[in-house]
Amino acid sequence: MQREIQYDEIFDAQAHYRLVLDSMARPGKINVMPGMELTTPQGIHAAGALVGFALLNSDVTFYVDGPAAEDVSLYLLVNTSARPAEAEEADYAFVNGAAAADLLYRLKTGTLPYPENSATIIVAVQELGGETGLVLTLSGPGVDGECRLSVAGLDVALLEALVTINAEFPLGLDLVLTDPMGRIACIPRSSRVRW
Amino acid sequence: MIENTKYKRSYNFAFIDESTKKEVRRKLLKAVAIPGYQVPYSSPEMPISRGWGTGGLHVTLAIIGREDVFKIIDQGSDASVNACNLREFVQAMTGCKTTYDTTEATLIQTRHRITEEELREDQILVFQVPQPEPLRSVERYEYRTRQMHGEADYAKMWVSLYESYVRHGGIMRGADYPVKVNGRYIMAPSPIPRWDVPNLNQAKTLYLFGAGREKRLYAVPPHTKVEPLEFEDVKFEIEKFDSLCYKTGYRRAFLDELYLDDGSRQYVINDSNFLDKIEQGGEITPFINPYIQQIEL
Repeated sequence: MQREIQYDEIFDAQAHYRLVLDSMARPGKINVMPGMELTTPQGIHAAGALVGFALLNSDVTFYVDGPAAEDVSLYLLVNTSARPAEAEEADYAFVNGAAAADLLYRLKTGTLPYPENSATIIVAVQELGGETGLVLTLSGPGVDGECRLSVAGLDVALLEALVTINAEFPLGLDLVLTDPMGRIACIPRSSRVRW
Repeated sequence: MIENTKYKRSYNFAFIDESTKKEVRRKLLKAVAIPGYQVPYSSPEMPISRGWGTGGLHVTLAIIGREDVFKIIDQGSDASVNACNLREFVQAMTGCKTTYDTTEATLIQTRHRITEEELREDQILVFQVPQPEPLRSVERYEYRTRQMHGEADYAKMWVSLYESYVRHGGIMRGADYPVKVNGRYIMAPSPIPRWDVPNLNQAKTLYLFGAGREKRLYAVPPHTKVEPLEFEDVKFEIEKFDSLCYKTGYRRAFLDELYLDDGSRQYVINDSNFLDKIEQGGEITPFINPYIQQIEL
Protein backbone atom coordinates (compact mmCIF):
# COMPACT_ATOMS: atom_id res chain seq x y z
CA MET A 1 0.00 0.00 0.00
CA GLN A 2 1.26 3.43 -0.93
CA ARG A 3 1.02 6.80 0.75
CA GLU A 4 -1.51 9.23 -0.67
CA ILE A 5 0.36 11.58 -2.96
CA GLN A 6 -2.37 14.19 -3.42
CA TYR A 7 -2.64 14.90 0.28
CA ASP A 8 -0.76 17.95 1.58
CA GLU A 9 0.26 17.28 5.17
CA ILE A 10 0.46 20.96 6.03
CA PHE A 11 -2.36 22.79 4.30
CA ASP A 12 -4.89 20.01 3.77
CA ALA A 13 -4.49 18.84 7.36
CA GLN A 14 -5.03 22.40 8.59
CA ALA A 15 -8.10 23.05 6.44
CA HIS A 16 -9.69 19.72 7.34
CA TYR A 17 -8.92 20.18 11.02
CA ARG A 18 -10.74 23.52 11.04
CA LEU A 19 -13.84 21.77 9.68
CA VAL A 20 -13.62 19.09 12.38
CA LEU A 21 -13.10 21.78 15.04
CA ASP A 22 -16.10 23.71 13.74
CA SER A 23 -18.27 20.59 13.80
CA MET A 24 -17.04 19.63 17.27
CA ALA A 25 -17.72 23.12 18.61
CA ARG A 26 -21.19 23.08 17.04
CA PRO A 27 -22.61 19.59 17.54
CA GLY A 28 -24.88 18.54 14.71
CA LYS A 29 -23.43 21.06 12.25
CA ILE A 30 -22.60 19.33 8.98
CA ASN A 31 -19.39 20.31 7.24
CA VAL A 32 -18.24 18.94 3.91
CA MET A 33 -14.67 17.79 3.48
CA PRO A 34 -13.21 19.01 0.18
CA GLY A 35 -13.17 16.35 -2.50
CA MET A 36 -9.85 14.64 -3.03
CA GLU A 37 -8.70 11.68 -5.05
CA LEU A 38 -7.85 9.11 -2.43
CA THR A 39 -7.16 5.41 -2.72
CA THR A 40 -9.13 4.49 0.39
CA PRO A 41 -9.75 0.77 0.86
CA GLN A 42 -13.22 -0.66 1.47
CA GLY A 43 -14.41 -0.03 5.01
CA ILE A 44 -13.55 3.66 5.42
CA HIS A 45 -15.00 6.79 3.80
CA ALA A 46 -12.71 9.40 2.31
CA ALA A 47 -14.00 11.82 4.96
CA GLY A 48 -13.10 9.34 7.71
CA ALA A 49 -9.64 8.92 6.25
CA LEU A 50 -9.16 12.70 6.08
CA VAL A 51 -10.21 13.09 9.72
CA GLY A 52 -7.63 10.43 10.53
CA PHE A 53 -4.93 12.16 8.47
CA ALA A 54 -5.65 15.46 10.23
CA LEU A 55 -5.38 14.05 13.75
CA LEU A 56 -3.25 10.91 13.83
CA ASN A 57 0.50 10.65 14.08
CA SER A 58 2.99 8.34 15.72
CA ASP A 59 2.08 9.64 19.19
CA VAL A 60 -1.37 8.03 19.18
CA THR A 61 -2.98 4.66 18.60
CA PHE A 62 -6.07 3.63 16.71
CA TYR A 63 -8.41 0.68 16.43
CA VAL A 64 -10.36 -0.34 13.35
CA ASP A 65 -13.52 -2.41 13.63
CA GLY A 66 -15.26 -4.40 10.91
CA PRO A 67 -14.47 -7.01 8.27
CA ALA A 68 -12.00 -4.78 6.37
CA ALA A 69 -10.09 -3.86 9.54
CA GLU A 70 -6.78 -5.19 8.27
CA ASP A 71 -6.78 -3.13 5.06
CA VAL A 72 -7.94 0.04 6.79
CA SER A 73 -5.38 -0.38 9.58
CA LEU A 74 -2.58 -0.74 7.08
CA TYR A 75 -3.87 2.26 5.12
CA LEU A 76 -3.92 4.48 8.21
CA LEU A 77 -0.58 3.15 9.42
CA VAL A 78 1.12 3.88 6.11
CA ASN A 79 -0.38 7.36 5.81
CA THR A 80 -0.17 8.61 9.40
CA SER A 81 2.41 6.44 11.23
CA ALA A 82 -0.09 5.98 14.05
CA ARG A 83 0.00 2.55 15.64
CA PRO A 84 -2.88 0.05 15.64
CA ALA A 85 -3.92 -1.05 19.13
CA GLU A 86 -6.58 -3.01 20.97
CA ALA A 87 -9.91 -1.25 21.48
CA GLU A 88 -9.22 -0.89 25.23
CA GLU A 89 -6.12 1.21 24.59
CA ALA A 90 -6.90 3.02 21.36
CA ASP A 91 -7.09 6.82 21.22
CA TYR A 92 -9.11 6.70 18.00
CA ALA A 93 -11.58 4.08 16.87
CA PHE A 94 -12.80 3.73 13.29
CA VAL A 95 -16.10 1.92 13.27
CA ASN A 96 -19.11 1.36 11.07
CA GLY A 97 -22.54 2.71 11.99
CA ALA A 98 -23.81 -0.86 12.08
CA ALA A 99 -21.11 -2.07 14.49
CA ALA A 100 -21.98 -3.98 17.66
CA ALA A 101 -22.67 -1.68 20.61
CA ASP A 102 -20.44 -3.79 22.87
CA LEU A 103 -17.44 -2.21 21.20
CA LEU A 104 -18.16 1.21 22.74
CA TYR A 105 -18.00 -0.26 26.24
CA ARG A 106 -14.49 -1.51 25.53
CA LEU A 107 -13.13 1.92 24.57
CA LYS A 108 -11.42 4.11 27.14
CA THR A 109 -13.45 6.97 28.57
CA GLY A 110 -10.78 8.77 30.60
CA THR A 111 -10.42 9.23 34.34
CA LEU A 112 -11.89 11.97 36.52
CA PRO A 113 -8.58 13.85 36.88
CA TYR A 114 -7.79 13.31 33.17
CA PRO A 115 -11.07 12.93 31.25
CA GLU A 116 -9.38 13.83 27.95
CA ASN A 117 -7.54 10.52 28.05
CA SER A 118 -10.44 8.93 26.20
CA ALA A 119 -11.22 7.61 22.75
CA THR A 120 -12.59 9.57 19.81
CA ILE A 121 -14.78 7.44 17.54
CA ILE A 122 -14.98 8.02 13.81
CA VAL A 123 -18.21 6.38 12.67
CA ALA A 124 -18.96 5.70 9.01
CA VAL A 125 -22.68 6.08 8.28
CA GLN A 126 -24.68 5.99 5.03
CA GLU A 127 -25.88 9.56 4.94
CA LEU A 128 -25.84 12.69 7.08
CA GLY A 129 -28.50 15.38 6.74
CA GLY A 130 -30.56 13.30 4.34
CA GLU A 131 -34.28 12.61 4.26
CA THR A 132 -34.09 9.08 5.65
CA GLY A 133 -32.81 7.55 8.84
CA LEU A 134 -32.81 8.54 12.47
CA VAL A 135 -33.46 12.16 13.39
CA LEU A 136 -31.34 13.06 16.39
CA THR A 137 -32.16 16.06 18.56
CA LEU A 138 -29.02 17.53 20.09
CA SER A 139 -28.71 20.07 22.87
CA GLY A 140 -25.96 21.28 25.17
CA PRO A 141 -22.78 23.34 24.67
CA GLY A 142 -22.36 24.50 21.09
CA VAL A 143 -26.04 24.23 20.26
CA ASP A 144 -28.35 27.23 20.37
CA GLY A 145 -31.33 25.62 22.06
CA GLU A 146 -31.81 22.44 20.09
CA CYS A 147 -30.76 21.21 16.69
CA ARG A 148 -31.67 18.27 14.53
CA LEU A 149 -29.35 15.94 12.70
CA SER A 150 -30.62 13.16 10.49
CA VAL A 151 -28.39 10.14 10.24
CA ALA A 152 -28.96 7.12 8.01
CA GLY A 153 -27.10 3.92 8.78
CA LEU A 154 -26.44 4.38 12.48
CA ASP A 155 -27.53 1.58 14.76
CA VAL A 156 -29.80 2.70 17.63
CA ALA A 157 -28.01 0.28 19.96
CA LEU A 158 -24.79 2.17 19.29
CA LEU A 159 -26.46 5.46 20.22
CA GLU A 160 -27.96 3.95 23.35
CA ALA A 161 -24.51 2.78 24.40
CA LEU A 162 -23.10 6.24 23.69
CA VAL A 163 -25.77 7.94 25.81
CA THR A 164 -25.15 5.49 28.66
CA ILE A 165 -21.40 6.05 28.55
CA ASN A 166 -21.60 9.82 28.21
CA ALA A 167 -24.00 10.07 31.16
CA GLU A 168 -20.78 9.87 33.20
CA PHE A 169 -19.67 13.33 32.03
CA PRO A 170 -16.86 14.49 32.10
CA LEU A 171 -15.90 10.91 31.24
CA GLY A 172 -17.07 9.75 27.85
CA LEU A 173 -16.53 9.30 24.15
CA ASP A 174 -16.52 11.92 21.40
CA LEU A 175 -18.10 10.98 18.11
CA VAL A 176 -17.28 12.07 14.56
CA LEU A 177 -19.81 10.88 11.99
CA THR A 178 -18.76 10.64 8.34
CA ASP A 179 -20.68 9.74 5.19
CA PRO A 180 -19.69 8.75 1.63
CA MET A 181 -20.42 12.27 0.32
CA GLY A 182 -17.62 13.71 2.46
CA ARG A 183 -19.93 15.16 5.10
CA ILE A 184 -18.95 15.17 8.74
CA ALA A 185 -20.81 15.97 11.95
CA CYS A 186 -19.76 15.60 15.58
CA ILE A 187 -21.41 14.60 18.84
CA PRO A 188 -19.05 15.49 21.70
CA ARG A 189 -19.63 13.97 25.12
CA SER A 190 -21.13 17.23 26.38
CA SER A 191 -24.12 16.91 24.04
CA ARG A 192 -27.50 15.55 25.05
CA VAL A 193 -28.85 13.24 22.38
CA ARG A 194 -32.48 12.25 21.91
CA TRP A 195 -34.24 10.52 19.04
CA MET B 1 17.88 20.66 -12.50
CA ILE B 2 14.51 20.47 -10.86
CA GLU B 3 14.04 23.47 -8.66
CA ASN B 4 13.10 22.51 -5.16
CA THR B 5 10.74 25.09 -3.74
CA LYS B 6 9.38 23.01 -0.89
CA TYR B 7 12.38 23.50 1.36
CA LYS B 8 13.13 27.09 0.46
CA ARG B 9 11.42 28.45 3.54
CA SER B 10 13.61 28.45 6.61
CA TYR B 11 10.67 27.57 8.84
CA ASN B 12 7.66 25.34 8.57
CA PHE B 13 4.37 27.09 7.80
CA ALA B 14 3.18 28.64 11.08
CA PHE B 15 6.56 27.90 12.71
CA ILE B 16 5.52 24.83 14.75
CA ASP B 17 6.34 21.42 13.26
CA GLU B 18 3.40 19.40 11.95
CA SER B 19 3.68 16.67 14.56
CA THR B 20 3.37 19.12 17.45
CA LYS B 21 0.56 20.98 15.68
CA LYS B 22 -1.36 17.72 15.50
CA GLU B 23 -0.88 17.23 19.22
CA VAL B 24 -2.21 20.72 19.96
CA ARG B 25 -5.11 20.13 17.56
CA ARG B 26 -6.08 16.85 19.20
CA LYS B 27 -5.97 18.44 22.64
CA LEU B 28 -8.08 21.37 21.44
CA LEU B 29 -10.79 19.00 20.21
CA LYS B 30 -10.89 17.36 23.64
CA ALA B 31 -10.96 20.81 25.27
CA VAL B 32 -13.99 21.73 23.15
CA ALA B 33 -15.71 18.44 24.02
CA ILE B 34 -15.19 19.05 27.77
CA PRO B 35 -15.97 22.78 28.15
CA GLY B 36 -13.92 24.49 30.85
CA TYR B 37 -11.63 21.52 31.51
CA GLN B 38 -7.88 22.21 31.31
CA VAL B 39 -6.13 19.80 28.96
CA PRO B 40 -2.36 19.42 29.53
CA TYR B 41 -0.26 19.83 26.37
CA SER B 42 3.35 19.96 25.28
CA SER B 43 3.78 23.76 25.07
CA PRO B 44 6.65 23.62 22.56
CA GLU B 45 9.58 25.99 22.57
CA MET B 46 8.87 29.31 20.83
CA PRO B 47 11.10 32.25 19.95
CA ILE B 48 9.53 34.18 22.84
CA SER B 49 9.61 33.26 26.51
CA ARG B 50 6.92 31.12 28.06
CA GLY B 51 4.42 33.36 29.78
CA TRP B 52 4.61 36.09 27.13
CA GLY B 53 1.72 34.84 25.08
CA THR B 54 3.09 31.48 23.97
CA GLY B 55 -0.09 29.63 24.90
CA GLY B 56 -2.22 31.84 22.70
CA LEU B 57 0.42 31.64 20.01
CA HIS B 58 0.43 27.82 20.08
CA VAL B 59 -3.33 27.75 19.62
CA THR B 60 -3.23 30.38 16.88
CA LEU B 61 -0.42 28.71 14.96
CA ALA B 62 -1.97 25.25 15.30
CA ILE B 63 -5.26 26.32 13.72
CA ILE B 64 -4.32 29.20 11.38
CA GLY B 65 -4.50 28.70 7.62
CA ARG B 66 -3.40 30.78 4.65
CA GLU B 67 -6.93 32.14 4.16
CA ASP B 68 -7.27 33.48 7.70
CA VAL B 69 -7.34 37.19 8.44
CA PHE B 70 -5.50 37.68 11.69
CA LYS B 71 -6.01 40.32 14.36
CA ILE B 72 -4.28 40.48 17.70
CA ILE B 73 -4.96 42.79 20.64
CA ASP B 74 -3.21 43.37 23.92
CA GLN B 75 -5.44 44.89 26.63
CA GLY B 76 -7.80 46.04 23.89
CA SER B 77 -5.11 47.73 21.84
CA ASP B 78 -3.83 46.69 18.42
CA ALA B 79 -0.75 48.82 18.92
CA SER B 80 0.81 47.73 22.20
CA VAL B 81 4.16 45.97 22.26
CA ASN B 82 2.99 42.41 22.86
CA ALA B 83 0.37 42.64 20.10
CA CYS B 84 2.73 44.22 17.56
CA ASN B 85 5.48 41.67 18.08
CA LEU B 86 3.21 38.64 17.95
CA ARG B 87 1.38 40.03 14.90
CA GLU B 88 4.66 40.47 13.05
CA PHE B 89 5.75 36.98 14.03
CA VAL B 90 2.51 35.32 12.92
CA GLN B 91 2.53 37.33 9.70
CA ALA B 92 6.12 36.36 8.94
CA MET B 93 5.49 32.68 9.66
CA THR B 94 2.22 32.32 7.74
CA GLY B 95 1.96 35.17 5.25
CA CYS B 96 -1.58 35.74 6.46
CA LYS B 97 -3.36 38.99 5.97
CA THR B 98 -3.53 40.96 9.20
CA THR B 99 -6.05 43.56 10.20
CA TYR B 100 -7.07 45.94 13.00
CA ASP B 101 -10.74 45.64 12.06
CA THR B 102 -12.56 43.30 14.44
CA THR B 103 -15.30 42.49 11.94
CA GLU B 104 -12.86 41.70 9.13
CA ALA B 105 -10.77 39.24 11.15
CA THR B 106 -11.45 35.50 11.11
CA LEU B 107 -8.99 34.63 13.85
CA ILE B 108 -8.36 36.99 16.77
CA GLN B 109 -5.79 36.50 19.48
CA THR B 110 -6.20 38.51 22.63
CA ARG B 111 -4.43 39.35 25.83
CA HIS B 112 -6.83 40.18 28.66
CA ARG B 113 -9.80 41.62 26.75
CA ILE B 114 -12.74 40.50 24.66
CA THR B 115 -13.42 42.85 21.80
CA GLU B 116 -16.15 45.41 22.39
CA GLU B 117 -17.75 44.37 19.09
CA GLU B 118 -19.73 41.18 19.06
CA LEU B 119 -17.96 38.23 17.45
CA ARG B 120 -19.62 36.08 14.82
CA GLU B 121 -19.99 32.34 14.18
CA ASP B 122 -17.18 32.32 11.64
CA GLN B 123 -14.66 33.91 13.98
CA ILE B 124 -12.47 32.31 16.65
CA LEU B 125 -11.11 34.18 19.67
CA VAL B 126 -7.88 32.88 21.21
CA PHE B 127 -6.97 33.99 24.74
CA GLN B 128 -3.48 34.20 26.22
CA VAL B 129 -3.74 32.87 29.74
CA PRO B 130 -1.17 33.44 32.49
CA GLN B 131 -2.80 31.27 35.20
CA PRO B 132 -5.33 28.71 33.93
CA GLU B 133 -6.10 27.24 37.36
CA PRO B 134 -8.91 29.18 39.11
CA LEU B 135 -8.38 27.13 42.27
CA ARG B 136 -4.68 27.95 42.56
CA SER B 137 -5.36 30.74 45.06
CA VAL B 138 -7.01 28.26 47.42
CA GLU B 139 -4.98 25.11 46.72
CA ARG B 140 -1.31 25.10 45.84
CA TYR B 141 -0.87 21.50 44.62
CA GLU B 142 -1.79 20.53 41.07
CA TYR B 143 -2.75 16.95 41.95
CA ARG B 144 -5.20 18.33 44.52
CA THR B 145 -6.82 20.89 42.21
CA ARG B 146 -7.14 18.21 39.54
CA GLN B 147 -8.93 15.99 42.03
CA MET B 148 -11.16 18.89 43.08
CA HIS B 149 -12.12 19.56 39.45
CA GLY B 150 -12.70 15.83 38.87
CA GLU B 151 -15.07 15.63 41.81
CA ALA B 152 -16.57 19.08 41.22
CA ASP B 153 -15.51 19.86 44.80
CA TYR B 154 -15.48 23.65 44.78
CA ALA B 155 -16.20 24.28 48.47
CA LYS B 156 -12.84 26.01 49.02
CA MET B 157 -13.53 28.41 46.18
CA TRP B 158 -16.93 29.37 47.56
CA VAL B 159 -15.44 29.85 51.03
CA SER B 160 -12.77 32.15 49.62
CA LEU B 161 -15.43 34.28 47.90
CA TYR B 162 -17.42 34.37 51.13
CA GLU B 163 -14.33 35.39 53.14
CA SER B 164 -13.63 38.12 50.63
CA TYR B 165 -17.14 39.44 51.17
CA VAL B 166 -16.88 39.26 54.98
CA ARG B 167 -13.50 41.02 55.03
CA HIS B 168 -13.99 43.60 52.33
CA GLY B 169 -17.73 43.88 51.81
CA GLY B 170 -17.56 42.58 48.27
CA ILE B 171 -16.00 39.94 46.02
CA MET B 172 -12.66 41.63 45.44
CA ARG B 173 -11.75 40.19 42.09
CA GLY B 174 -11.22 42.72 39.36
CA ALA B 175 -9.85 40.64 36.54
CA ASP B 176 -9.90 36.85 36.07
CA TYR B 177 -13.28 36.53 37.80
CA PRO B 178 -14.01 32.78 38.26
CA VAL B 179 -16.84 31.38 36.16
CA LYS B 180 -18.70 28.08 36.00
CA VAL B 181 -18.90 26.59 32.53
CA ASN B 182 -21.85 24.44 31.45
CA GLY B 183 -22.76 23.97 35.11
CA ARG B 184 -19.73 21.76 35.68
CA TYR B 185 -16.18 23.14 35.65
CA ILE B 186 -15.01 26.31 37.37
CA MET B 187 -12.77 28.09 34.91
CA ALA B 188 -10.39 31.04 34.89
CA PRO B 189 -11.54 33.30 32.04
CA SER B 190 -7.98 34.72 31.84
CA PRO B 191 -7.49 38.21 33.31
CA ILE B 192 -10.27 39.86 31.32
CA PRO B 193 -12.08 42.58 33.27
CA ARG B 194 -15.42 41.69 34.84
CA TRP B 195 -16.92 43.79 32.04
CA ASP B 196 -16.10 41.02 29.53
CA VAL B 197 -17.21 38.04 31.61
CA PRO B 198 -20.93 38.14 30.61
CA ASN B 199 -19.83 38.12 26.95
CA LEU B 200 -18.53 34.57 27.41
CA ASN B 201 -22.06 33.36 28.11
CA GLN B 202 -24.08 31.95 25.17
CA ALA B 203 -21.73 33.59 22.67
CA LYS B 204 -21.85 32.99 18.94
CA THR B 205 -18.14 32.40 18.63
CA LEU B 206 -15.72 29.72 19.76
CA TYR B 207 -13.37 30.76 22.57
CA LEU B 208 -10.05 28.94 22.88
CA PHE B 209 -7.63 29.46 25.75
CA GLY B 210 -3.89 28.71 25.78
CA ALA B 211 -1.64 28.90 28.83
CA GLY B 212 1.92 28.35 27.58
CA ARG B 213 3.88 28.59 30.80
CA GLU B 214 1.40 26.38 32.67
CA LYS B 215 1.00 24.07 29.63
CA ARG B 216 -2.79 24.00 29.58
CA LEU B 217 -5.45 24.39 26.88
CA TYR B 218 -9.15 24.88 27.41
CA ALA B 219 -12.20 26.08 25.55
CA VAL B 220 -15.69 27.50 25.74
CA PRO B 221 -17.79 26.42 22.75
CA PRO B 222 -20.42 28.78 21.36
CA HIS B 223 -23.86 28.81 23.01
CA THR B 224 -22.48 27.52 26.29
CA LYS B 225 -23.70 28.60 29.70
CA VAL B 226 -20.95 30.57 31.47
CA GLU B 227 -21.98 31.93 34.88
CA PRO B 228 -19.82 34.14 37.08
CA LEU B 229 -19.69 32.80 40.63
CA GLU B 230 -22.07 34.76 42.84
CA PHE B 231 -24.25 34.32 45.88
CA GLU B 232 -28.01 34.70 46.02
CA ASP B 233 -27.65 37.94 47.93
CA VAL B 234 -24.22 39.08 46.74
CA LYS B 235 -24.29 39.38 43.00
CA PHE B 236 -21.63 39.61 40.34
CA GLU B 237 -21.26 43.14 39.00
CA ILE B 238 -19.35 44.63 36.11
CA GLU B 239 -17.13 47.70 36.50
CA LYS B 240 -18.87 51.02 36.91
CA PHE B 241 -17.34 54.16 35.48
CA ASP B 242 -18.33 57.50 36.92
CA SER B 243 -17.68 59.19 33.61
CA LEU B 244 -17.89 58.67 29.87
CA CYS B 245 -15.32 58.48 27.10
CA TYR B 246 -13.88 62.00 26.76
CA LYS B 247 -13.20 61.53 23.06
CA THR B 248 -16.55 60.16 21.94
CA GLY B 249 -18.98 60.65 24.82
CA TYR B 250 -19.71 56.91 24.63
CA ARG B 251 -20.72 55.13 27.85
CA ARG B 252 -21.36 51.47 27.05
CA ALA B 253 -17.76 50.32 26.69
CA PHE B 254 -14.91 49.34 28.99
CA LEU B 255 -13.05 52.57 29.73
CA ASP B 256 -9.39 53.28 30.51
CA GLU B 257 -8.54 55.88 33.11
CA LEU B 258 -6.09 58.48 31.80
CA TYR B 259 -4.12 61.00 33.83
CA LEU B 260 -3.55 64.09 31.74
CA ASP B 261 -0.62 66.50 31.94
CA ASP B 262 -2.54 68.95 34.09
CA GLY B 263 -3.20 66.23 36.66
CA SER B 264 -6.86 65.79 35.73
CA ARG B 265 -8.42 62.41 35.03
CA GLN B 266 -10.27 61.38 31.91
CA TYR B 267 -11.75 58.15 30.60
CA VAL B 268 -11.33 56.76 27.13
CA ILE B 269 -12.60 53.62 25.37
CA ASN B 270 -10.13 50.80 25.92
CA ASP B 271 -10.76 48.84 22.68
CA SER B 272 -8.68 50.77 20.15
CA ASN B 273 -10.49 49.55 17.04
CA PHE B 274 -13.88 50.26 18.63
CA LEU B 275 -12.71 53.78 19.53
CA ASP B 276 -11.46 54.38 15.99
CA LYS B 277 -14.73 53.19 14.50
CA ILE B 278 -16.83 55.46 16.71
CA GLU B 279 -14.56 58.44 16.05
CA GLN B 280 -14.75 57.86 12.33
CA GLY B 281 -18.50 57.34 12.49
CA GLY B 282 -18.25 53.76 11.27
CA GLU B 283 -20.82 51.06 11.87
CA ILE B 284 -20.51 49.29 15.20
CA THR B 285 -22.10 46.07 16.44
CA PRO B 286 -21.30 45.92 20.15
CA PHE B 287 -21.92 42.98 22.48
CA ILE B 288 -25.26 43.25 24.24
CA ASN B 289 -25.75 41.69 27.66
CA PRO B 290 -28.04 42.42 30.62
CA TYR B 291 -25.23 44.13 32.54
CA ILE B 292 -24.31 46.54 29.75
CA GLN B 293 -27.97 47.25 29.02
CA GLN B 294 -28.38 48.65 32.53
CA ILE B 295 -25.98 51.46 31.68
CA GLU B 296 -27.79 54.53 30.45
CA LEU B 297 -26.76 55.69 27.03
